[in-house]
Amino acid sequence: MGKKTDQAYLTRGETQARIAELKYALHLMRQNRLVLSGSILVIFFIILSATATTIVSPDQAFDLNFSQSYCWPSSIISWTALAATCPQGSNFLLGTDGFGRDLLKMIILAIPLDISIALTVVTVATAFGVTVGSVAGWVGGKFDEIILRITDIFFAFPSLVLALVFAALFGRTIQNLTIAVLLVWWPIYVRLMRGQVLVEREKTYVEALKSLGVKPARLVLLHIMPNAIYPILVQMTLDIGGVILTFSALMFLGFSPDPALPELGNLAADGIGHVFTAPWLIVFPGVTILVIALAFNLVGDGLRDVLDPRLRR
Amino acid sequence: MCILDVRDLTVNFRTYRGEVKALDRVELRLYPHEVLALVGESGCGKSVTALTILGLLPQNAYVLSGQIIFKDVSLLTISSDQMRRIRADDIAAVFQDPVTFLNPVLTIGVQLEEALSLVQDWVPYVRVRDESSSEASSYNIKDYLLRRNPPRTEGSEIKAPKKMSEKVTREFSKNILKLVQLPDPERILTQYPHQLSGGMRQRCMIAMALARRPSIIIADEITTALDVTVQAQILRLLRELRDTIDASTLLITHDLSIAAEAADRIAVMYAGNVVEIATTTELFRNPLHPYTQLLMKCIPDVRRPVIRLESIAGSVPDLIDPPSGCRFHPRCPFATDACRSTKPIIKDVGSDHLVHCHLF
Amino acid sequence: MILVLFGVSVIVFYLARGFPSAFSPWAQYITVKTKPAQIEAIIKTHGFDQPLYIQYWYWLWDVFHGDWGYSNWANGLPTYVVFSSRFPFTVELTITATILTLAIGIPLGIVSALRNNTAADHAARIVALTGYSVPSYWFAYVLQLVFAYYFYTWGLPSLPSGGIISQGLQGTVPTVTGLPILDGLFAGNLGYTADAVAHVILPAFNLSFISLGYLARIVRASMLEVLRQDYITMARAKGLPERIVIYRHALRNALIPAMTLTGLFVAGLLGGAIITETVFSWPGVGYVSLIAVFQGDSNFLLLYSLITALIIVVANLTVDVLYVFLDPRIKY
Repeated sequence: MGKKTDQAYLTRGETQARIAELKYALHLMRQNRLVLSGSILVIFFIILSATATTIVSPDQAFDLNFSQSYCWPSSIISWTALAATCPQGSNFLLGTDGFGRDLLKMIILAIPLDISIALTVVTVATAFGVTVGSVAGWVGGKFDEIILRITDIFFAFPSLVLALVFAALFGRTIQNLTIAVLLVWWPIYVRLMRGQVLVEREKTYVEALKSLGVKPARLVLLHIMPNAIYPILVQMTLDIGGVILTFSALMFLGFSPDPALPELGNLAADGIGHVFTAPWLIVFPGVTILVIALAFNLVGDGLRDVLDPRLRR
Repeated sequence: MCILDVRDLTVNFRTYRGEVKALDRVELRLYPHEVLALVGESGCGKSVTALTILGLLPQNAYVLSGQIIFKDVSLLTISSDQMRRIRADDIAAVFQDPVTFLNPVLTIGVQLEEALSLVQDWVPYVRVRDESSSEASSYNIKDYLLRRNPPRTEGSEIKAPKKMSEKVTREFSKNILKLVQLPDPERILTQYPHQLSGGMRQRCMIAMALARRPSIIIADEITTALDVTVQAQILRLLRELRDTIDASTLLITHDLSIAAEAADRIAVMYAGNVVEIATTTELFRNPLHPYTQLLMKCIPDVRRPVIRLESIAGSVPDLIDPPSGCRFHPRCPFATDACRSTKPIIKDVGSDHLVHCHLF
Repeated sequence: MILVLFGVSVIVFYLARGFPSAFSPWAQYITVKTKPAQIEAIIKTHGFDQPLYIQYWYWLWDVFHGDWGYSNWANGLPTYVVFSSRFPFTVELTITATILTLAIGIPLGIVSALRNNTAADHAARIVALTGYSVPSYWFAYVLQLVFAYYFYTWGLPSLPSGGIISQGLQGTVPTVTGLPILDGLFAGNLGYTADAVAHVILPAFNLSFISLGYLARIVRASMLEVLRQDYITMARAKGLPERIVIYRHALRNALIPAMTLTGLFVAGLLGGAIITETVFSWPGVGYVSLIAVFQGDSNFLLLYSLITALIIVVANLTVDVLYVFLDPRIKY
């Protein structure tokens, strides 16, 4: 075999076909109004995260003023009978938290933190999971068995418990909490990728490429991966919302390193003891999480509809 | 006189890449008690014609123009409920690949009894003299299939219940399976489709069609998924059933030899047009349309030594952008300017032989 | 399966006992007043100074003799008593939540599939996606706010904000199954049952809201796929009314993957929904496990994690068996 066949790059035709597919997929997505609004929201949040520190200066988080804590600006909308109103002249749009900080500003500061953690976790989990999964699927045998058992063990833990235990033991820093969430998330990518590789491995084009002498690494990377990537992309998008939910849940349950940290779950935790005196503290950070997760889920759901080859027309 | 009259039928499909002009002014007539074969290559519109007649076109298809008259009822204008009624009573369909066309999680018995449960307007025999005999045994399956009413004898009562009782349904299911020559019907009723062989599944589908005592049976490529010996068995079954049942059959196939064996008349389709219709003997004796002639040449003759397999030059046209005028002209060895510009109209060249071609 | 359980127990054991952390394993057995010498003695008797694998062996030995250890923070009760006294409440919550999920999720998915790309589909899609975008603790509090507080202040009939049964009614009915609703029914005390139902509705809805979204999406996807199958065309060609085509032919095939999901969902719930139970003060297993984590009670955590792992493994097996029943094509 000459060097040329050994390389076996994607042919022109293959690439053109893939591009046409992607164009069709985008066209379908554009047609669905819900998915479109979801994508707009996602873009909005990403821009917001990037520019958050210019809108609100981070040292606002340290601007503690206990005299105006737990107050709601306008007396027109009274949340509950026990809610306090802010002193005259203050322009807090969403009320204040326990430290007397403007809730809206804290939320804006918190969004980049949550989104960046979510992106980190998902990227790392995918990279690791996909690698391990494709090796397990390709090589098979004992190695595959072992990996399968390990993922089984991880799946046997309810997700929150695993993260909880890890966080409880290793101490409460953001890094540790990120790792805790990562531990919960990586097995699904291993399983997904492994499943895909197992299916693709039996197909005739793989046999054809093997007989041409293409090395396994290149085969998996250049040829199997593009075919297998769709469900993984969908899972990644959907998981971003899931990671934010889990991470903020951890914060909410009390694992935050710093009670004043602007993080959505942490802000909400502040309101636990004040459900009837300052309900906005729980409501608004939660709504933010909801909207972010909903946006990503809309896009992911739309992607799933569109990229599923069986559901396409 | 004819029970199914398809006139000027044009059907389009809306797709992402454009409008597929699947059927272009198709004309067809089906007479009582005959077998009409609809022959053509894959993608020429045979199945689309069948689906249009049944009213089962997918959502992105629509009928641009034309009429389908069945026993004085215009099928394209009636409500979907009425169409459903017609599918349950009068027009039955048997499809190609029973593996995908039978529900895998339901037993054959359930699926067959479903077909029977829709039957209305059947009249059982009742033997008044012997009252101890079971209900079911007094029903004659052949009379049932031919929709023959029992004779009025002195003092007899004709009970005409609205629907069949369970016992009757079970008996009839077994009898119909026996009719299609399936061994051990009792067991088959309890089995699932994947447990039967291809030929047996196809017989079950035929049984489901017969159970409704239709006036028309549409058989869409029923032998394509079977191997040749089973194919022969099924065709023989259809031949034998012709006397028992009272229906006309629209036999759709891509295999001219099957049409030759089983059909009384043959209609040849190409790219959404019916190009020639004639009786079988007439067609083989005197094929007029160039496409038909080329098709005949493609069939290898068992008796003569094989020199070279014939084929027709060119390929099937893209129906999103079909050729102008006569759709066959790019591949036709006799194409003229008229063929390229205008569509030919049907001409009757005598002895019931119709052609769509400028040459005649 | 044994391997998985073994793996789980090893991991938890190591994390709980071996890992240098804030909680010392012997914290269970001492109080503030214990003198250092007594602490030494306790350490020696319970073998906390031994290497880990020996400790593990001791634990295994104890377990096989039925001794799962004691939970000091729960009045020194044996751990399995702590678990079993709370488990029925979690079961009640799980059953109610599952019923709600199936009752709302499946029709939602069917509607989405049948009216694909219409307004109804979009509405159903938003509801479903909101379901699994919502943080469960937040939703729990919002439910409490709206149904317990606001309804009350607005004079509408309100639901209780926590607990399994109202204070006044506690203990008025003999415990047969441990589930308040069933106990009330067995005793014929409808007032008790109604009160129990009122208490379980909010937490159950909180739990089910999240998974019914997921279920609806899966039902929708499999329905759409099934509706494109040839046998559906055949069923319509037989002239069957559309209702029968959908319910008898399509659903039977489409619900199979949904059942797997439901099985796993139930298994996860039986492990205790920590957040929901905490917010609604529901004295179930999840609530208690959170306390155990904060108390560093390794005995209880071992018991708890092993039982949950067991439930999940059993659920997986059950689902596999169920598959064989539902889909006649699968044979063992």
